[in-house]
Amino acid sequence: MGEYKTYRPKRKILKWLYLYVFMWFTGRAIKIAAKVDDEVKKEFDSIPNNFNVALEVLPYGPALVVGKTEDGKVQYLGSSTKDKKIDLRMIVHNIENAMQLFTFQESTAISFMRNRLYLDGEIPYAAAFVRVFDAVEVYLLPKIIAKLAVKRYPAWSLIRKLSGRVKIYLRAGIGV
Amino acid sequence: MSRTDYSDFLCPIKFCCGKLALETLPAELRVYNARKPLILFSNKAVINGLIDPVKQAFDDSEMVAGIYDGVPESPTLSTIRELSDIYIKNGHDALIAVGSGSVMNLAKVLNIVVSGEPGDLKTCQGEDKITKPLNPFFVVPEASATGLMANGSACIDNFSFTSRYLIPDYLAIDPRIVQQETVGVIIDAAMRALSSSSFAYTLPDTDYFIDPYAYLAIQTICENLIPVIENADSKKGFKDYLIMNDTEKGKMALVTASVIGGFISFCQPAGIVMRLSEALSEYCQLSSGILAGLLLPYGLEYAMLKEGYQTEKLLLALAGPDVYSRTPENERGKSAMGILRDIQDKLFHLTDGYIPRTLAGAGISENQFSEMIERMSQNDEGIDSKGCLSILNHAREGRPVSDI
Repeated sequence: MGEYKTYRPKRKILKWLYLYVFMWFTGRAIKIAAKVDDEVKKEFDSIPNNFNVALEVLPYGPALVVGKTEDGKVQYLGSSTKDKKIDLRMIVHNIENAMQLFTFQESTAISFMRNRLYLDGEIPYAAAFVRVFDAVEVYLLPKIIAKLAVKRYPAWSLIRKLSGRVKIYLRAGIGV
Repeated sequence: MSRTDYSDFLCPIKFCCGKLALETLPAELRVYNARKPLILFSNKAVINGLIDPVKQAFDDSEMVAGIYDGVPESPTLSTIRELSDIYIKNGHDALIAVGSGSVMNLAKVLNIVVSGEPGDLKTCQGEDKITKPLNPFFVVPEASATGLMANGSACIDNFSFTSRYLIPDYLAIDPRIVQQETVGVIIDAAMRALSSSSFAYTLPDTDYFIDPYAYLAIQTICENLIPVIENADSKKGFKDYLIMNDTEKGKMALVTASVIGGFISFCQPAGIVMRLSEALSEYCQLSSGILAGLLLPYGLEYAMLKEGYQTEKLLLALAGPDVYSRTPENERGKSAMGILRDIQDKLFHLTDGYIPRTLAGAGISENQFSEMIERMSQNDEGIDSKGCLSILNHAREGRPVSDI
């Protein structure tokens, strides 16, 4: 005869911490990228004012919340969706799927295709947010890694890439 | 090609096959509003060390899972009683079966009991007696899984049940689960699926729905079986821990094909080859799947001559459109049988003779045939005794069936 046991799930603290730091920095980088890059700015122009987007991992987070204020400014709103008005949610099913995505083993497009994340909100705004996310990854990551993370690596000039990268790293690090 | 004028089909399973398939279980359970699953492991699954990967898939989810390890090979009603007590007492609301064979059977019957009243077991016996959907039921098959877990039938002690509600809701095929099996077990499952799919695919009247599923199963087995057996003993390199290698992908493809084969055998009555191989397995050490693979070309040749099975069509699934289109129409059936015999021959060499090429090689004597067929016809009145004998005699000598 077999034996019955109850299994209480353990927390994956290290993976959660990695995702927290990654999403925190990327959130701040998105805010800066909207100021320094025309393409990212244009994508945010297509999103209405007073509109918040969240990319979150189920069930315990972390999350990345970015929003546009009433006067059209892009803001990073923190790592939690609690008590926030969210207009568009991109939800990753679990922490392992989030690790696949944020350790660049799979691009955002592949993750969507494999049903690792789902969407609650308008598709055109989600597509615009994914394009913003891809552009920020191109700025933040070296080409060899960024190629894995985005659908198509853009043909940007070296000056655009380097100046944007320096500005984003500096300003996101300092937080201005 | 002649198509049937009537067809019905049901396949309500959601499949997930690939890397991190186990990690999808908590999210899929949430879809069914289930929060506390009971996970059943077969004895073999425990020995193969499958508890840890399944348990870890629930880490960082809010679900507390119950684990029952070591479902016996032949579960009885008392096992059902014990498990239903555990299920109800601990407030479980879904079932996950990990392994193959008996654990799947047991989980299906247990689901009838825990989704209604214990007395339901008597009233639900027979065909289509279950009148409402049961609790969520997920399966995680091993490489030895025959695919029968994907169908809507279950049997325990003398109780047998057939209903669409017994078909699992979700099926996760994960590389960590399918890696542990021996070559014999993989061949058994693949050949069983190849037999049921080949018979369904070559039916005199092509079925609209079965046809593409059978094609997929045959093609997948042909592409993957030999490479997987050839590389079964190869050691994992460093790169293989990061990216899934071809053997792992091949094993997963074979399990998927086995599941499709199992589903086809639920939709179609068992062909003559499956019935003969089940009976033959009692006379030798070999499993019915391996025997089905051995009998397949002979059974198909007989079915073509006697019942007009479209064996020429099989070449398309076995060898692909290029070979099919450059083979003359009247040669296609013969070529398809040649490929099936070729597979058998390669398996014979790769397994150092463990997979026989003829029934004589399997140690079955001619004298046993008549006794076996007599026993078969006692249980099954529709059996064609003369045909069975002809198939067995040809398979014994390895001689193609060219006349009846």
